[in-house]
Amino acid sequence: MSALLTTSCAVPRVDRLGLGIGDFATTWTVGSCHRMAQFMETDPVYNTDSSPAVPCDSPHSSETFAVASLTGAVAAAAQRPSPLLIRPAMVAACAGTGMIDYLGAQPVDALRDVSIMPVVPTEPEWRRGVRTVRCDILLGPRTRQGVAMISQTLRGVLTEDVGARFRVCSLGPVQVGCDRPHDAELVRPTIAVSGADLAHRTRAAIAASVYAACIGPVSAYLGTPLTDRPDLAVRARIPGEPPLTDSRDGTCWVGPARPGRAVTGSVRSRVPMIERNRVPMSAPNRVPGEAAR
Amino acid sequence: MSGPDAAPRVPAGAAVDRLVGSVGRLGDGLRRGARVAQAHPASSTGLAWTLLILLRLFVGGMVGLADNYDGHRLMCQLGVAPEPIPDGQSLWAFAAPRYDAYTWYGEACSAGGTGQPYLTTAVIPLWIAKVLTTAFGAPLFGPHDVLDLRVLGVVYAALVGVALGWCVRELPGSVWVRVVVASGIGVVASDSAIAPDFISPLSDPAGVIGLLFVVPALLRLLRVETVRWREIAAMVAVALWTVGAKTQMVSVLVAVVPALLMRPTAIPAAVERLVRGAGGRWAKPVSAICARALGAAACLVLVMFAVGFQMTQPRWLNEIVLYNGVFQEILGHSDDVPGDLRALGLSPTLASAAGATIVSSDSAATLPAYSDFLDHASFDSELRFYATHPTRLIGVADRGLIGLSKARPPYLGTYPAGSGHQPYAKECRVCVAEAAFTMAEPFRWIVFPALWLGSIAVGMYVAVRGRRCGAALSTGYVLMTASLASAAQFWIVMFSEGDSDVAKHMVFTVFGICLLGPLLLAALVGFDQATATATDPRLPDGRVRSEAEAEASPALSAP
Repeated sequence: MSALLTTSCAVPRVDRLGLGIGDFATTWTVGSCHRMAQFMETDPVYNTDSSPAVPCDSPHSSETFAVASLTGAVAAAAQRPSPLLIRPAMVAACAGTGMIDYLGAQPVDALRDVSIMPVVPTEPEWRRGVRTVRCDILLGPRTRQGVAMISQTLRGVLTEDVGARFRVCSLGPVQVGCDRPHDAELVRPTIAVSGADLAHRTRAAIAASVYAACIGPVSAYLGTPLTDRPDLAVRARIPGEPPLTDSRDGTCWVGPARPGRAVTGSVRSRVPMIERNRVPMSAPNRVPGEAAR
Repeated sequence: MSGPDAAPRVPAGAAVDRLVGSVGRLGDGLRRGARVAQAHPASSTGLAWTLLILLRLFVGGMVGLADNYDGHRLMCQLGVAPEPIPDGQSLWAFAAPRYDAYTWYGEACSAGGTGQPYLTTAVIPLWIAKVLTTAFGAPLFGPHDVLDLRVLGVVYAALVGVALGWCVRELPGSVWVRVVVASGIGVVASDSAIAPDFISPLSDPAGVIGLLFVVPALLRLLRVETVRWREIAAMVAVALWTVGAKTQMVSVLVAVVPALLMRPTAIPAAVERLVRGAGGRWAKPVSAICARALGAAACLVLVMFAVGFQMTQPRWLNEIVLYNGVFQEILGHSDDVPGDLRALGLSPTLASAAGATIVSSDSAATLPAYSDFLDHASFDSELRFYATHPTRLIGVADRGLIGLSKARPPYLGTYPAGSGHQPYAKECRVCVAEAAFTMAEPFRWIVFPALWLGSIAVGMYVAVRGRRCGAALSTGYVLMTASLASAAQFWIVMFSEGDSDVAKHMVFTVFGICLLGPLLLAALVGFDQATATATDPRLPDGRVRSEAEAEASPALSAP
């Protein structure tokens, strides 16, 4: 009954009948953290967020890494345009605004379970002339079973152990986060393979070319020549090879030199790798207790 | 069995006596029940149908309707969110009745993120269900939910019972005939094409319940000897509820508005004295105008509400409806897309999006000219297009009739997860409508128009011929306008969203067509009553009708 009364009393204004509660004011602060525990709240159509910011050491699903201005024809509209029209402008406003830097990542880092979620002004804010876009890092995976949360800031998270969950690894043909047991870790950039190569060369020849091209990027990734890390080996994968079956490029992976071994954590982490026996895949990564809220 | 622990032997004769006594008591109980039911047929029928709806919803495991992504805009208004569903399970696959408390901020609770609310009367039964879940849900369904849609099913079952009880009161004929006709309507409400909606997070069941109440409200309005404010108020309340359930329910005004204007209302004595006091030759027309004033005011209220309600619809929903109407219906079935775009006054660069859905990768929304579409396209331009391309209506009608023949959305499951049924499985506990409509599909151009036109013809005949008999007038009118309203509903759906998700949008048309059966029976009973009154020399007070009286007020009139 108390929950019912709370909800009933939380909709005080007639002009906001049928809408959510609160003052419809967006938090426009870089570094602010936001808890959107429902899958629907981050559906691309629901592109506003007026929930109160939460402390970044409490469970949260997104974090603001930039605040940009909305410009162009969309911004000139007196009435907030259709979500379909505003979406490209939002995405453009947040592009290249430093999510990689905010996470502490480098161009060699391949990322997963983080994406950019642009947030636009609410209707009342738009009417007041606010034309700002909030660029949030949104955690994944987000499903109707639950949404991913983290209880620490994402600023520089790739430089820490916990950042391994956002790195791309594989266990055999299955892609996993590097905080899960894996036998290879993805390294950027990808290696271009021409259509002519694919048409005329053997898979082994293509793999050899990709392998040769991977030595440099993997060394850069490790921060040391590969020859200094005899425990590690390069694994080159040709286009279409799992786990990135839709990739049209060759990809470079680095993993334990001993075949059949699985490790947990990133080779770029300061913490030494923990060698483990290969273990079967389990459920996707989530903060315990938060997923089903 | 002769040991010390053996049960004492009961003589066979005593057991038989006890059995006979039990049967006798049961028989007495049934007889008493029958007497009570006969004394209170309306409430008994209502109660019986509430129980029957509950049985069909719950016995053998709960059935409902899966969310089709429209549930959020309604359910979030109650401060709830659905319980999580397992990864990989489609939202459409299973009915999911359980909701937890959740605080939605700002536009996270709005129609498609527009910042505009999704207003519907369906929120009222949901609030009732939420209160009941909190108060009584734990012993029934377990102590976990803030809102359980199974409780909503109980609320709707009770409303069905009230509506059918009211029908029994207002229908003509003997008690058993009234109960049979009302039960016919009950069977329609319990059909598998309708009843699963009662346990769903959608606004459709509120429209269904509204239509159920429109029937007795109209019957009462048209058959009482003197229409007073009570009848008008009841009709207006029911119509407001129904129109407010969903925008497409505006079609119900086809039935309600003429009925409100048709019958004069009793004028308060003071007003009548005033009019007569003014005297002269204007007394009669002024009196006639006064007698229609209340009905006219009620119509004005309804029309203003309907227009206002249409205007409160969120822009995003209107955009989706308009998009589907143009890109999926008109252009998606066009042999000359550039020509149709010209006729609609739209840029020819939108041609590549013909037939594409609004969220697909080739959607018109990805094209630069989409803003022109939003600026220039309108429902008016759609209607103008059909006015200038009338042959296109044949295809529109055909697609509509095919959708109608499905009777219910084929992609939404009706069983809850873990019930042992396959994803998307549909229950078939009262599967009359789906079976009949599916069989009618090859003959759709004959069956459905024949049902509509036949009902209009019979209803009109009964209403006009028996216009001096309230029973015939009311039942004939209801049959005729139910048919008109369901046909109007059909075209509203086709002109607004076209064949996009047409099987789901046709739920009210399906319901309206199914109602034609019991309403036809009611009309025949009403006509029979009018005939009997015309030939019966006795007046209601038992006196024998004089020749002059029979001539002055014949129950049957020449059409």
